[in-house]
Amino acid sequence: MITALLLSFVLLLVLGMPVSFALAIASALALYAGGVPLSLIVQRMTASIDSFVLLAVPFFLLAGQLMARSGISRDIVGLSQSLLGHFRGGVGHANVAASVLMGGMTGSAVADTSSTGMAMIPPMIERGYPAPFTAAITAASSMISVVIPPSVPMIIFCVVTGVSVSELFMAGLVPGILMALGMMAATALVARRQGFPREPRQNARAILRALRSSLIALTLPVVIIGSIRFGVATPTEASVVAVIYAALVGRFWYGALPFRALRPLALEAAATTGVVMLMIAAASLYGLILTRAQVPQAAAAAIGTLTQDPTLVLLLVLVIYVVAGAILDLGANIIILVPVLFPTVTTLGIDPVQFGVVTVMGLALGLVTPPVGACLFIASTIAKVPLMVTARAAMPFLISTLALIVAIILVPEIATWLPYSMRR
Amino acid sequence: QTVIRVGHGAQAGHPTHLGLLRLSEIVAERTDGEVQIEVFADRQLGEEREMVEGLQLGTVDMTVVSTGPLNAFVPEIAVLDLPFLFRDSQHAYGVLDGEVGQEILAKFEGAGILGLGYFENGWRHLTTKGAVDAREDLQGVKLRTMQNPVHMAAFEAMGASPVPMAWGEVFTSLGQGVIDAQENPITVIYTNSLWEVQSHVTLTGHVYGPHVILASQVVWDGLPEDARTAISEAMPEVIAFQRQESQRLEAEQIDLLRDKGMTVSDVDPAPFREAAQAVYSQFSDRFDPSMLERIQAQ
Amino acid sequence: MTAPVRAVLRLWSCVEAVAEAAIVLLTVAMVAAAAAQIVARYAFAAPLAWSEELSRYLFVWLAFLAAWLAWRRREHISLDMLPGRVRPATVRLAELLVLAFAVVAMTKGMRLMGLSARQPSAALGLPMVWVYAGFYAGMGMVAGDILTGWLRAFDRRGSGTAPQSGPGAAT
Ligand code: NA
Ligand code: NA
Repeated sequence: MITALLLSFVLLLVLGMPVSFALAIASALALYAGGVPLSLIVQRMTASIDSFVLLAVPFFLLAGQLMARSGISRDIVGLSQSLLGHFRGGVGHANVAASVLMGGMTGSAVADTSSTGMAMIPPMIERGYPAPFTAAITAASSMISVVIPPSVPMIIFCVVTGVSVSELFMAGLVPGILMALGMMAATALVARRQGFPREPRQNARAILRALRSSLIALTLPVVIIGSIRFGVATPTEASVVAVIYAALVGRFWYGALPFRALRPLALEAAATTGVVMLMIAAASLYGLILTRAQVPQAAAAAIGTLTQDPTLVLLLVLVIYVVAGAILDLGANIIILVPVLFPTVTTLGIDPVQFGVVTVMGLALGLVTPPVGACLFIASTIAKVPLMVTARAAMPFLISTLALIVAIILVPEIATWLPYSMRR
Repeated sequence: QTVIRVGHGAQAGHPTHLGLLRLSEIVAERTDGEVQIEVFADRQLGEEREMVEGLQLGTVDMTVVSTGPLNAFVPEIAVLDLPFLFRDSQHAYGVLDGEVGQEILAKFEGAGILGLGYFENGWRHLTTKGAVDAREDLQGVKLRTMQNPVHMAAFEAMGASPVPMAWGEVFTSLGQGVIDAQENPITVIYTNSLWEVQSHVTLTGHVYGPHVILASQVVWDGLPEDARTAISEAMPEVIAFQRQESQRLEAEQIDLLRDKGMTVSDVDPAPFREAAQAVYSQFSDRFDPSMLERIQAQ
Repeated sequence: MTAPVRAVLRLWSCVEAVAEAAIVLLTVAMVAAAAAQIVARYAFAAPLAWSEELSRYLFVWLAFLAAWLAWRRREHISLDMLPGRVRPATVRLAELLVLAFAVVAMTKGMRLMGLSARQPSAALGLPMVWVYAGFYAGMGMVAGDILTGWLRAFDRRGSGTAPQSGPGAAT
């Protein structure tokens, strides 16, 4: 049964089948081979998405669409450029900064690559930056937006493990900012070696103008976090607050977002929701079959025989994440791997919140590694660069992020200090 | 060799998990290892409602679930959800193991499910941010309840504002003040670290929560004779063990909650019981009045 | 294109338009239900009993219809996001397998649909069969997309026009 499950999955992927359908079809075959009633398919796939916490996914995606369409995203990019453009490789730094700011509003790396990529890659190439670098920095910095709250993958992790969403959100803040600083350091290095251009320094008035036009946009993360902090809304409900606030700001402050824009924006957000949710549904069916066959228990025992040292276990898990991230999508990986690893990891006394941050960051690397790195793919398409060339240019940023993850494994407080100091 | 998979929604430290492990041991021993019972904690085989449906489909062999989701399958079980129904544990055990309890289990037959008996989830108590010395202290308190109309109406009658909220959001919402209070058995309060977001436990014991042991009729009929006998014969012993573990853990964890800084206090339940009486007439169409009388008379 | 084929395809585009409209309406309804939940609890201290369950069930429908939308737009993630062309024969095989999956899952799921028709939900008392029906809506639309795609390709070949690369796995 398990052989049928694994083999058919790989075969279907090679055939070019979408990952979610490959998971679902492989599961159906395994159920048939195991003599389990196939009505389980409809039941498990539906029940796995019948979860209030998951509602945050379409809402945060919709909020992202509203911001991109209304001009909020454009203002954020403009502000980043006026602040950082005059350093060597300044537009690269601005790209990272834009992802930090956008990261505070959207929870999807793919959305971030699309919006900052369209706004920044063409002008960067125009100003003489090598195209592979522009694609690489755009794709890599997008990883920041799933680490800085809000974050769709973090929500999925919490659904699977029962870890508190707001604590994991808080835990991502410091690592997200460190991630950005690491990438800026890597940009500075690459910029010096390759002799990237500088932009003229903007005068104070220009900076002020950029700041003023994006001021209202910058209140959005404040409203999201504030509505959670002050007991107005649960983390899931905060995503609705984000939608309504972005719609109001877009409509009345920017004067954008006519009523007829609603339909295409809702459909755009829905299409991405469909990708994520079918993946969750199929992966959860697949995971149930693995659980019934006690594969997680066996895997946990295998890790246990290798080592009992928490640090070594986490490093081992990181290796698994890097390999898995190269093969499967971020969300699917969380649903398949985390239920297997979580019990083992927590029995060893590893902090669940630390594990959540390591998981999301470790698997996020897969967004930028071939062959299935979604952000790598989008950025390469915008910059018109072959995938492998972008991947090579992204190496410095991948290394700086990997170093940060190892640091969090060794010093959990980088992630856990903020949420735990806010308890009670 | 026969493998039976049992799923439940509680954590691996819960008395129900311990009870099922004991069942697995006894059955393996009495069948010389021919019958293996594998226990899956933590909703690994699905949500409670989903597992019960799985019994009907034959995709889940056995499960232990709370009464809430069972209302949709056997409406008669709603009577057990009534607040302040049982006087004490002995009363509850007597009713559940006696005529009324077995009558309810028999009703599951029509749904393709075999009822095997009742474990204990525990007495539900109140946790809050401030002290609850009297019913008046519940006035306007945003209290998370299960998605159960009877419970919600009962707390409304006691003066609180009941909020049905997904369990995944409760911890955070208590911490940030979206809600003020919640109610659960001690084991749930303890294993979910609620002391970090709540300061008081009031031992109201407003509802007694059974954990109903159920098997899939299709799967059961397909089991070898000796497996069925071994499980049925082990049941009384396992149930006694599970309840004993439940009481032991509750007492132990009340002390642990005190160590964690929570104030655990008793309260005169009479005013709460009086207010909650309203739901007995309000929901009288939901249960068999003669059944209620027999429970109260026992 | 023959007249019956044209009629079928026209009917199908109507169905698609309805499904898209449903997605937009579901999104709006979910935002409204969740917003009402926050306002009732925070501003009026009168929490709603039904909003959580309602938004969950709307979401199940949205998710499956959205899965169809993503399928139609070729947005589901697959391994061959690598640049390069996929052979039409491979695409057809992948479609055949997805179609078979949808049909088998829906046929075998009928037992669940029958059982859940008698199972009311906790807050709204809505029979659970209406929730599971979301799966049927989404997968039914995917199956319809594959079949009409084949019909279009078959008809085109019959009338001698050049085949266009078919729908399916490629992004
Ligand atoms: Na984010
Ligand atoms: Na970026």
